Amino acid sequence: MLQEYKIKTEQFEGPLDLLLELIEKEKLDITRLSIAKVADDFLSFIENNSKINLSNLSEFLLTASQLILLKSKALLPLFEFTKEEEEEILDLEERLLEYKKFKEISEKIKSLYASSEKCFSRKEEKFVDFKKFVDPKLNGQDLLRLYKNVIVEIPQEEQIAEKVMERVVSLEEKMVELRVSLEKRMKVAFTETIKSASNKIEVIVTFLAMLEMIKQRSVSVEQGEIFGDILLTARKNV
Amino acid sequence: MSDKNIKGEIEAILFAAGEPVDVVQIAKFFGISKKEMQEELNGLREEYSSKKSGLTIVEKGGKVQLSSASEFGEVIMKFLKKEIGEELSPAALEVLAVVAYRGPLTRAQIEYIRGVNCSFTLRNLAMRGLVERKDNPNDSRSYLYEISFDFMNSLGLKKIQDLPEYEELTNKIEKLVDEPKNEN
Repeated sequence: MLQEYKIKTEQFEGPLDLLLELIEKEKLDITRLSIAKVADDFLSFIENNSKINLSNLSEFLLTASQLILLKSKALLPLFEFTKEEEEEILDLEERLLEYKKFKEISEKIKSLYASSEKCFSRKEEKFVDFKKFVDPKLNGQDLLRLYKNVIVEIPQEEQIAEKVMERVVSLEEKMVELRVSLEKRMKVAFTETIKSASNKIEVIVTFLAMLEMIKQRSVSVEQGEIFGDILLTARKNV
Repeated sequence: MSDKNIKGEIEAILFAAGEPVDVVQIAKFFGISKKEMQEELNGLREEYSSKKSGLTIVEKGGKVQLSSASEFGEVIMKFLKKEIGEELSPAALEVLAVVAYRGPLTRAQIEYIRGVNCSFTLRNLAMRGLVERKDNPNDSRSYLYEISFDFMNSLGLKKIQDLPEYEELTNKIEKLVDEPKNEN
């Protein structure tokens, strides 16, 4: 008889689930009689099934014992239940009925859950707690007044006279110039190099060009005394 | 009192709060009875539905929350590029059903109805935010499980009574679960 059912182990959540499935396969209503009728199938399922979750095994066994009791009653008409047993069996029937309802309704919940008809609510704590930052009595007029106070205190931007900057000779140009004059003569006096300078900046640039060339070791300089003239000599070995 | 726009004020509070707000707390705040408060809420609900508003009020366990109406669920999901949650296992659905129709209840009571250990499934549902756990006032050793606002939102329910066959299922079970056998 059992072979007719294609029972998949994992499908059964527990003894009630299995019992319900067995009764429904037989197309029976949930009654004491129908429970007794599927008792054998229930027992052989447990026997042949080592995969029953250990934590649920006791539940399966408890139900099995109740089924055996029911079956004994069916086989032995003279056998009477004690009051406690009677209650237990009644309990099993009712639980089965209830479980069936929940199993059915869970299908409806499933379709509700899968439906796009959902509500969305705002997540908590997204709302900024304004009173942390601002006096709640503050109004627009206050803000205007405060704003005016602040802008008065901002220093006025000073007007700086504009002047077109004249182009002055660059350091590189001056270095080339110095190099050229050093090629013509062994020694060049600094005072000579600035004779043609049109302004103070050009003198400074010339001086900087000289310093740069010293650094590059392309000239050597001599100065007889402080503030005396500087003589530049090209360093040939570089 | 009649001049005051309590309905609008309640609406503003619910919007600003974002989270579910205790109905009694709002009623106390306005100095109105719980019944008057419910009337104001009903007024808001009617207003929303009559002008086809995008908003609705979701109510659960004495708390109310402002949510988008379920008929706009699809457009929101498209806009936010959200997907319908992962499919729930049959076990998860059964536990959800029991908690929804019979909650708040203890794990032992859930297991009595399902005839099987539910601790793993419950933990899983709690992690998904579909059920909530709270202390059991009658027994500090156990917890009570109830449905969450997220569950309500996921199913597009305005109130728990909107569940299919709610009356039928709750009535029958009351009688049964009052005396759970193997409470451990």
